[in-house]
Amino acid sequence: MNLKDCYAKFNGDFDGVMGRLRREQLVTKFLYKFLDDKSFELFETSMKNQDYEEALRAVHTLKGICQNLSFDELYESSSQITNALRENDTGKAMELAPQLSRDYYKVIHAVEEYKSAVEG
Amino acid sequence: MEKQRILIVDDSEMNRALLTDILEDQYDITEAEDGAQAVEILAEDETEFWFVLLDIMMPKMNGFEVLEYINKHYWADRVVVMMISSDDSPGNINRAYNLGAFDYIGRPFDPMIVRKRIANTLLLYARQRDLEEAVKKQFYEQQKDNDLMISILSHIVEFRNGESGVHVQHVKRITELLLRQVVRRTDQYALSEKDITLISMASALHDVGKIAIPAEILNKPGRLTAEEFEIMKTHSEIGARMLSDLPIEQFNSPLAKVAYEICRWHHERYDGRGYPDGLKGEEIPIAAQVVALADVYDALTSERCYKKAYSHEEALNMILEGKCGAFKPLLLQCLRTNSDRLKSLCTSTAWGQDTGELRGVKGKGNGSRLLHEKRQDTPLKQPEYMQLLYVDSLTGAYNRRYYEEYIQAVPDMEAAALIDVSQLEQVNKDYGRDVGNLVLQRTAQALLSRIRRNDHLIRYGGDEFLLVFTSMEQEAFEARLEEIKKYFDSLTIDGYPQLHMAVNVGGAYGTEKMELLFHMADNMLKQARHTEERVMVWFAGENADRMQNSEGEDIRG
Repeated sequence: MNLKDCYAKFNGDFDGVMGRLRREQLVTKFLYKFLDDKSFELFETSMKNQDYEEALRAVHTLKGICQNLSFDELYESSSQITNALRENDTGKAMELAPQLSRDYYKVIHAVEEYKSAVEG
Repeated sequence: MEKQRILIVDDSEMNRALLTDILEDQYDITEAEDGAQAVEILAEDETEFWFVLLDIMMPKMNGFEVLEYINKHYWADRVVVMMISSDDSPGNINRAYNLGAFDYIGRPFDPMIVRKRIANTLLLYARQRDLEEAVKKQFYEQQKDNDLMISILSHIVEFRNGESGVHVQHVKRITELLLRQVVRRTDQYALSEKDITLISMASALHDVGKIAIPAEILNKPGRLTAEEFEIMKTHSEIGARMLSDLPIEQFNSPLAKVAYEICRWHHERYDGRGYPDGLKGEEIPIAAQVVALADVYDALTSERCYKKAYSHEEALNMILEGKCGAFKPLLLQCLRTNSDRLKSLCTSTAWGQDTGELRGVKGKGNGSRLLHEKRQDTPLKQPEYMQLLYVDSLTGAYNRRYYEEYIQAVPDMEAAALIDVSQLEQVNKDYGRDVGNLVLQRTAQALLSRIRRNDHLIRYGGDEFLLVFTSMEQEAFEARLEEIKKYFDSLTIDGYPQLHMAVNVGGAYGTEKMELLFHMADNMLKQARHTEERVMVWFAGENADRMQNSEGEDIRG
């Protein structure tokens, strides 16, 4: 499994990210970093605690990371929740949350798979 | 060269890492997790120049609040902000720009483009700052050069006058003081700080026309004849013409314009009784009015070849009483208000902040208020009487009576020297008494130019002059006498190139009674006449051998 396959697995824009970051090592480095990123976790706990302000910030940050790394699918779902929370539509945000979760773990699993393939 | 510092402010560690990754090879990177941390870092050193990459949505303090904080603390000229946000709605972008952000980058960004934009922004700032520095530096250097040129020019005039080399500096300082008072009292003239600098600077040129006045008139110690005075008076028009004859583009400069006004009209008086044009009241430009007053005040408080120095109080009274012509009442008020400042200037040793080396041979006396104190003791308050009684009419030096009444009895004088003109008898015989008198006048002038403001020159009698010095170092005294002798060796009289002047000098040094100093100086002079050196000095308290030289007479007994 190479980097391109990995991106295909979670419907990311591989050409887009390579166009900007230019080097596979760099993209890989940030993919690994993403495994440790706490934005999604923070979003989930904040939603559970009904701290929607914090939830908005967390999902907004997640959206930013998705943009930089061209996680198109995850970007789409995080973007929708960001808009919902910004409009104080918590009902809609909760409705969209499962989709976000699915997209998030799709990325995580793909990256983990890629990582173990690379490291053998 | 030190790396430019960049502050990355983002609550997402990943986002910061991404930026750090692309920038750390070129810049010195600091990271902040939120706005509050960012302003803390920015506040550490108020002089540090920062480039900030700023996220908008952050906990504690968001990006907009950081921008507001920067504005509130006036950091905008040292903190350049580039916003980076995934929220590129027109509202946000606008708000960021309005709050002073320099640039706005949306996500996803291309690191190469971010690098380029940062580099370009920094280059722009560096250029602007360099340019500002360069302009500032150029301005100051030009100002300094202007000042220097004017100073040189006016010193040429002063040098020829044989006047104290500091008159120009005095007039400049007084002019500045007066103008500041004028501004405080009236806005009639709408004088800016720049105008004050310009006028003070131009004031140095007020007597530039004197360069065209014959030396015999300029330096005549006695009273000028009516005819001579008319010639003297032309200096204001001549000075003005020197300026108006400049090429038109130079004459059109503010400095030349003001200098012209000052040169031409600094002898005009408020009642129209001045010269050359008899201008009246506000017909006289304010620059000329102020310099006229400054000139008069300094002339009164300085010693000149034709007069001695008046005290500050005397000078002030004479001016207020109208003895020196009429001035605008408001200016007189300004003079009075500045009385204390002027008085301290007048007695201080630090006249005119930096006259530098151009001050020339005349140093400043320190401390002797002999003249002023003494004058207050005397019933003869009228300076005119003083002049008649105590000043030698031929040479303008003090006379023997002055010495006997004011100086002889003073204890603790530091140094005295008797000086005679060699072969004055021969000159009188060969060239006539007129030439002999000319030699005496020239001698007095030369000596006067060689002593300090508080020292005294006395024509003791015939061809003998007495110099009395107040507080002076021993080496300085010896050097001074040697310098005087040498100065005369190279001195010639106008119109008599074959006539060489030479002097013999006898000095006495030590804190002693004046009578003793005089006696020893006299002995030394007698010996000096017979030596090749022509300068002999006695030092109080030195071994008796040296004293034996003085005809073996022990005058201390």
